[in-house]
Amino acid sequence: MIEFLQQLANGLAAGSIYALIAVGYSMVYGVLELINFTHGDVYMFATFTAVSLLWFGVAWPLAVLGGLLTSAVLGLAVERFAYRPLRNANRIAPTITAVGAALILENAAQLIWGPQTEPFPMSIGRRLFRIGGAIFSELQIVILITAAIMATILFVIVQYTSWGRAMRAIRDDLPTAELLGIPVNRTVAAVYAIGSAMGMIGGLLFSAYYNAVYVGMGFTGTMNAFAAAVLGGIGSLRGAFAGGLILGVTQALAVGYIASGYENSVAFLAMIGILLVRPSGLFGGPTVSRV
Amino acid sequence: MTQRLRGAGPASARNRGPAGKGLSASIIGPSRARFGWFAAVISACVAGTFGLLVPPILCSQYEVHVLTLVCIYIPLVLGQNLITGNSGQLSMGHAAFYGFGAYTVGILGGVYGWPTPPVLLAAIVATGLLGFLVGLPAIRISGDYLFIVTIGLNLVFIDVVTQWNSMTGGTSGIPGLPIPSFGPIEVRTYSDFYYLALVIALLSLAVVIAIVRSRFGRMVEAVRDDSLAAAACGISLTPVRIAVFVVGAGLAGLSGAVLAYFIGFVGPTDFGVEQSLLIFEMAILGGLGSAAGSVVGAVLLVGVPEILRFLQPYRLGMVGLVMVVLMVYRPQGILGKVKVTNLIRK
Amino acid sequence: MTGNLQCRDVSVVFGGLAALNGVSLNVGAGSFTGLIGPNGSGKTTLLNVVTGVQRPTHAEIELDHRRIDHLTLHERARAGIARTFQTLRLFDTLDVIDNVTLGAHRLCERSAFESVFHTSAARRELRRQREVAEELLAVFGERLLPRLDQQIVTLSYANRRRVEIARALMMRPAILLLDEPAAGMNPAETEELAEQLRMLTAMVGCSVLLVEHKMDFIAALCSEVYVLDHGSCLAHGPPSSVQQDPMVAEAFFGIE
Repeated sequence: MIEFLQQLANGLAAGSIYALIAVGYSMVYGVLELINFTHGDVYMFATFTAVSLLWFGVAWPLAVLGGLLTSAVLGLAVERFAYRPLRNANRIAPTITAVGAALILENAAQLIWGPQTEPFPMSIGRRLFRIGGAIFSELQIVILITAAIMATILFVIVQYTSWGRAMRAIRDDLPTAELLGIPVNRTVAAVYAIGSAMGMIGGLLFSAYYNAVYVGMGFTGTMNAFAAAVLGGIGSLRGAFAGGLILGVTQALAVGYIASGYENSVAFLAMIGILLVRPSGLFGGPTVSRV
Repeated sequence: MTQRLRGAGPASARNRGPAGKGLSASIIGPSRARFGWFAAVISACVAGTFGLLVPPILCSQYEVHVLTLVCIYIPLVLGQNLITGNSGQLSMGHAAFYGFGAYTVGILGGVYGWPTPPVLLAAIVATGLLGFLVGLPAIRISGDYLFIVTIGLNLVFIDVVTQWNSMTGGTSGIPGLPIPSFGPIEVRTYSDFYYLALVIALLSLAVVIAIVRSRFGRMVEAVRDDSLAAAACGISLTPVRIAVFVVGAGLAGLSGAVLAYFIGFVGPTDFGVEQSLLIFEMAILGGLGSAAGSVVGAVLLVGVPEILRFLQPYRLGMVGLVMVVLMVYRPQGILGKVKVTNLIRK
Repeated sequence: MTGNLQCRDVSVVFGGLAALNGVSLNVGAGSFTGLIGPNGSGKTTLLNVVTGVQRPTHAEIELDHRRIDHLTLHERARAGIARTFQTLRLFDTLDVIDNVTLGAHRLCERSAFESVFHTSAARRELRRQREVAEELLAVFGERLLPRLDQQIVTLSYANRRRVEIARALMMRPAILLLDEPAAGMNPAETEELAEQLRMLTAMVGCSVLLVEHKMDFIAALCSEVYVLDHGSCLAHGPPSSVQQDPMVAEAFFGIE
């Protein structure tokens, strides 16, 4: 039982990271119905930037800020050059350009920082706490709290501000939103910026937690984000958050009780299972069926 | 004046010119049969002679090596094109089928020492079966989700292959595969492998063209263009979509088998998502829906990087750039008649 | 004679809104029946329910006295129900003759699998089917015969409608459901189409359920007409009596 709780705890911590990344990803999908394949690679690049700043001895709040700025800039650039020209095409074309843009980012990161895995340059939160029979590290608690705070902030923005209303209008009916005078380009840019920023925080926490910064983490991150979003209900921010947590816990339990090395497979098989059995996700709304 | 519908009527003689009979007409088209047949035979002879004689005699060993790789990629891209171009299904994990064929050779040919012809057959059939298993759930998952799902399956394949040490040799793979032989004929030298790959590429091309130009091929394209209308004509969608997966996967398995024998080794590195993306790009660059386009795509994206070796560190980015440029400026690729952008009806 | 269609008590309700409300309709074997009504009255919905595109909340549908409610879309097509679509659904990358010939799918004796091997039997069957397709298209005169190898995108709107009709008739259906086949045609073409439909359906020997807005078209072809309004059947009978029905006039023109 203790073992189970421990796995659960680990799963929740990892899951919170997935949740943050997934929410950032889902923002873009929810508003634009776009599979943002560059999500992970943008935050990977931004994380590397932040880590590089830390290497140069910059204080960590500034490094984080640097990372956030990078992710926002990259997110906007991707939107401007890879997505906006295809705004009127169907969903496939931007998905493919997204893949292309992701590859470009990966190549650039590889050239700048090399293919090896770097350790995370800050030692954070190694202190351990015992809560309810399971052992939590300080870092895990930081992660859980950060995730909760960011999610709440995001929820407030989307539900209660005019930005949020604009985003929802664009999701529901882009042409009409345009006609109504909603500043579409600016709102879309904001969506990307916020989504990338959330991903960036997730990425930083990921690197801190696993003590690893490497180019491949971007792609893995995108795939996990997608799996989490699908599990929870694609297009729904709450669903993405829940999906991330579920994903983390499922992975931890599977790895703990079945076999290690198959974490990714667990994620994708769960995702495929949901798509077949309940395509709207665990918390999603009804979906349209096709012939 | 009404008349009952009959088989033949005066209308048939009207606009079709000398209606070609026979196989050529079936594949090339009745009114174009005469001229088309002649031109096809001549160009096949020229290309065949060129392909058979020139490389081993005039080209360096390295160039023959590259040409062999091109020929190995051709069935691979043809299969991807069949699934994504002709059938409109965004399958992205094609390298998993490629790898499955290669590992079939590694296990049956390498570990168990089976002779070559049954191993090749097993590679095609087993990978085709895998294609069937993938195709089954695939038809229930739409458009861009399928894209991600198939990438996920590719990753699952890599995971399995890397972890299942006892069967696949894990990350080290299976080294020391035997020389392939067909009865007394051994495939040893660079030229030998080139001929093998060339013959297989040509056979695959013939098979794909036969499929695409048949009534079945028309059904596949109809289902892609408008599945509702196709169903309203009585066409059963599921078997059509799955059959395409089976053939596409089988072709990829064949490619993988040849690759394995060619390199003499099987390992997980060649069969990941990066490879799938490359194959996909070959298909869209050449042009979806066009078999000739697939050949062009393979030639360009295998040949050019070899020629421009100095661009090696930028390869990934170049692949990405080509994707973006293609989608924005020419989504139908070079020879395609289907735009990727049209693959989903909104 | 086949092609008797009976629809009983067809209802399509979502969330309190009834697109169709207990509609019953009968098409006699070999007859021409019309279905009219203002936009949004549920005509296309009814066609969708009959063909299996849409699941109804409740319906009992019989084709030639056999229940077809359990059949899927393509099974109903194979059972002999053909249709055209209001929004026009052709296979855009195939040419005219290929589009029409595909309609014969359900009649093929040579399997699709066999067609891949290009056996002489398969080729013979395909050739025969193309000849039949040409016969059908010949009814439209010179509009389509010179264009057999052309891509659909190069055709005029009216010609595309004709191709779709020919494709549906290739099926040799028991019943043909036409959804506004004359849309986008001028009065001359419409009159021509009425005559051509009469010829075509006599050639094939099917019954017809015709959804249309153009009253003259309906009156010229149909022996019986049903009127739908807001999902309910308002009236039915021969065109002349329906045209004079005051309730119908009110539904269409708001006349008291």
